[in-house]
Amino acid sequence: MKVRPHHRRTAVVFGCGVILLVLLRMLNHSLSPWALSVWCGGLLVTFPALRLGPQQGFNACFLLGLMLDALSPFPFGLHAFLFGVAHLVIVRIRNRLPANEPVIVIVVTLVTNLVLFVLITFFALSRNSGAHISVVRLLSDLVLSQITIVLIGGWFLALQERALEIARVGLHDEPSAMI
Amino acid sequence: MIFPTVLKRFARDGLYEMHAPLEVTTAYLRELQNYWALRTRSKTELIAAYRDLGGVVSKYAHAAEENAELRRAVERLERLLRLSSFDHYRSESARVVNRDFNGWWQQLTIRKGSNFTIPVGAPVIFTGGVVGRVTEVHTTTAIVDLISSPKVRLAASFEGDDRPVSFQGGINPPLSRPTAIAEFVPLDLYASAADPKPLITSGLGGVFPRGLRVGTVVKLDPSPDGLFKTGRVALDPRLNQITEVTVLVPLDPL
Repeated sequence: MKVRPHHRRTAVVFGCGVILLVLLRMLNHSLSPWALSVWCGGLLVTFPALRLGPQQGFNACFLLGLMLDALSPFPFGLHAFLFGVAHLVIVRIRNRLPANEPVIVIVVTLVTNLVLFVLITFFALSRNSGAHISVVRLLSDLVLSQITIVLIGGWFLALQERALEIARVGLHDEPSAMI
Repeated sequence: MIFPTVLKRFARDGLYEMHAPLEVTTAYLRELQNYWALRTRSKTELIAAYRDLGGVVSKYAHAAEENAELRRAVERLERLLRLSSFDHYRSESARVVNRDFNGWWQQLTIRKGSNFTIPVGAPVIFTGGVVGRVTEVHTTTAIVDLISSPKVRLAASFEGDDRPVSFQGGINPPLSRPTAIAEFVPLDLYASAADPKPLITSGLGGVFPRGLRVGTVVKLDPSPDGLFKTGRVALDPRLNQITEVTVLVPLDPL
């Protein structure tokens, strides 16, 4: 059975996202004694949105969102919906951005992560109305997440590109990705 | 209406079970790493640790004897007074696979699930007292909501006082121990940082058995309506680095 190249691209990017999720969960496990954590959802969205074709990118983002939903206590579909919307917004503006520049990709990732983090925080607050949530904790988590993205963003983008090349579905034959 | 719910449930369980082996594998790798780290210790260190452990073992052996004697006394009294038995739970110890603590939720993944008949809603404890409650059960893992989680609310009482107070988790500032809130505290109860008062489970609500340690009330102030007091509860700092828990599985589930 031969898998179509665009399905393979989606599968490869999804696999890389799962690897990142496992690593981030390990990092959060290690950070828990200091009451700190990181959330890098933006990192899962940017590469598919900036470099893959719209359909492949959306599929990858949506699947990764569903994976995050399966691991979180929020209603199933919240992350998938937010990742899908973030993907659509980035696809709309990507023609105006030099998407092959790593610095630009990192900046877009930081902005996306910030917006998604704030939206999920508002959702958590509305869901736990009357609950006591530490604002200092949320701010420290956000700052740490952004620092983590700056540190590992370049590596993760390179990992995805290299994984696509190894799977023989590199981006050179993807017209929508050549911006 | 039904189809999307079934589909959502199927997709959620499928994706979770796909990810679970990765998480369990990383937990095993972490344990292997610790094992090899311990292998680097010298024999002198191991002998010293063994000597220290000997003292602890003899202390626990004495405590176990006392415990057995007390159990016999309780059983005798139960028979004499025709009281119902306290043994409503069986203990199931489980290793922690993952700690997922953030500002939105505080959850643990443990390495036992439906394969050990862990039920949803079972109370979870550790040496420092209450850990939380099982919220999801999967094939080989289960998710535990911690008492420090913002949405957790339970009935507690001060040690030596039967009146229930409301306990709510949620304040987890960075670089410090988790804390929670005690509400609806009667006005004649007092607690301060200099004179902290232990908070225990009240047994109301049917989830947690009575008398389990929840935390320590370190501050109490009158609430705005003046009818009750509201206070800060300091939770056990070991909650943030927990590696092993005990699930209390009800023997007679409703």
